[in-house]
Amino acid sequence: MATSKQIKDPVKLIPTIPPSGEFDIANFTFERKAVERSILLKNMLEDLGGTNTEIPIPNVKGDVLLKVMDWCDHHMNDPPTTGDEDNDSRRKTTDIEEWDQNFLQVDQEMLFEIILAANYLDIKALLDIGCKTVANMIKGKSPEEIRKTFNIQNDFTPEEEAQIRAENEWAEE
Amino acid sequence: MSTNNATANPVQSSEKPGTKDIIRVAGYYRHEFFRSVIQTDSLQVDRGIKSMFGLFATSPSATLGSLEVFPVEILHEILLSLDMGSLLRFRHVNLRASQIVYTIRGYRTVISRAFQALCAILRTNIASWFTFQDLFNLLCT
Repeated sequence: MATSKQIKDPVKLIPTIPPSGEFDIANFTFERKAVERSILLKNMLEDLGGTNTEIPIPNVKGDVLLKVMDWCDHHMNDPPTTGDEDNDSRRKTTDIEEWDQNFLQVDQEMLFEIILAANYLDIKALLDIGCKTVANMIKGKSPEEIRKTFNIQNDFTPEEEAQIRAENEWAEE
Repeated sequence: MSTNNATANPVQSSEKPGTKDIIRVAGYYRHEFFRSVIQTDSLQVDRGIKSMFGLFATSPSATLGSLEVFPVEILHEILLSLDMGSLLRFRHVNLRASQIVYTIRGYRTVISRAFQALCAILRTNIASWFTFQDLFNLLCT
């Protein structure tokens, strides 16, 4: 995707864990502005100065990195978020814009890897919508449905189960 | 508040006979409503705090399944955007889940300092409209 476009100010990211299948390093050249959506990489680029435009990326699998950079490409012209963002307004809005919703329509494993990569690369907005997407997978579900969704074992003792039933009855009184 | 309205507009209420009665009845009703729904007897609250919303005695033997890949900061981030009803249900997934919920500052504070507010929210069935963070922020103002 990145190769088909004219890149004005290219930065090459080299994943130390290559993607599965065929691997073309040419696909890992991105617009500097997009790369700078990651605060970690932005700071790295500043420290390296203008000359070095190749950054090795450990901890993020190649295919996850490509997906994350897709998001960065799409959002490279967004107004930058301030460091001390207003937690309040951020958490209240549970809606995610349509492009991002489609972007995050991936299997659970990929979604979780994107969240971890956004955390590592320090891409606040992506981390935020990722977490909201997971929250939406929990919202309104019964404990049993949540267990099924995330493959969680129930380890409550029979006494604790009774306690939980009592709590539910009390709350619904 | 309704009685305040009645005294603030005596002219209006004397002009329209019955208005005051309606207010009085509504106010009375609300008072009863408050007593039966919002207020809980303290013994029950004490027992409630201990047994219901705190930590379970057993230590967890199961993981959070696929959610286990996340560090606790990310889990908090996810759980903080849940409404109260969903968060309370998440507690009932397993022991580890209830433990994680207990480590959320907003949750713990509401349980220990604003239990009656939580009772009111749960019993009026509006737990799906608010987050614990909303209530916590309100308490901190």
